[in-house]
Amino acid sequence: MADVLGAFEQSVLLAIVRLKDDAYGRAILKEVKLRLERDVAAGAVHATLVRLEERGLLTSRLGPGTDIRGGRARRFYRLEPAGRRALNDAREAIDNLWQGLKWPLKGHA
Amino acid sequence: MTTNGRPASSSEFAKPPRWAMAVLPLLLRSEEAETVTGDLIEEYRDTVYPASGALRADIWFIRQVAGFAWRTAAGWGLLLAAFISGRFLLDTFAPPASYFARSFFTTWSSVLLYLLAGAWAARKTGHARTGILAAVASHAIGWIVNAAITAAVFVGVIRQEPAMLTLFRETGGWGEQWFLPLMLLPFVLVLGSIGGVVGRSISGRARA
Repeated sequence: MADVLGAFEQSVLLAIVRLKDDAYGRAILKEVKLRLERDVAAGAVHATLVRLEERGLLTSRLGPGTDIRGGRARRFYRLEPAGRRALNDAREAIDNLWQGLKWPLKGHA
Repeated sequence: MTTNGRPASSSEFAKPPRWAMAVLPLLLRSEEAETVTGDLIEEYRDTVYPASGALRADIWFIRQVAGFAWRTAAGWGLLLAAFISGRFLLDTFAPPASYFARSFFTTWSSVLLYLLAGAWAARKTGHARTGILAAVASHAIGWIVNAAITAAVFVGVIRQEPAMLTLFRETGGWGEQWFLPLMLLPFVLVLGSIGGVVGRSISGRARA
């Protein structure tokens, strides 16, 4: 397993996968909030995007802004093969952990 | 209904607090400032403002900026709290014959910490002024955490022990907890500025 991803890193990478060509900062923030069903700080998403880009799991490019942003540019993110591998590994690890168990767990702990 | 003189429906033209807009780019690298500010403004205008109104939208924006500041200064602030609170706990539970050595250590380690916090933040963002922000934010975090620890120890232990209560009052008491951080603020600003200039020059050399 080349890159071990945390749950929050997975949520950010999966948001990029879901958003396809529309994966820019604010859209990723909204998608992560929606999937995690909790409030998420923009700083947390931004720090994760920077870290994942430095690890080579994704790349970014600048795109045009819109009126509502006051014309400010948008940074679009794209998953790299290393990011796809890391997500697949993370999923495989979870599947291995749950192998042979029925979900949801029943009975008293 | 209007807040800050703005109609609640004019979200497309709504503006977050000016000071928060000025602080945010200082917490980001130059190449990120435009896109991150744009993301926050878009969310502010498109979602938060129409759903919650101007006041709550402003609070939301300030919280986001505070989140970026926290990421810049949290580690240094908690380290500072460890120095100050560690000194307080040692002085309370193991008072020395002379306070000189402990005072020397906490004073100079704090000076070094403000310089490093400023230099590290300025090196990361490429802005010298981020050094001041990082030093002040570290100072605030350190002293708030320390005040919480002091209050807990005071209520749990010191208040019930007359000897400790006397020692607490003789070594500054609550005045030291509340007013010393304010008195130190000008020094923190100077140290943060020096750290910021050093960090900026390191960042400039690394980019060149």
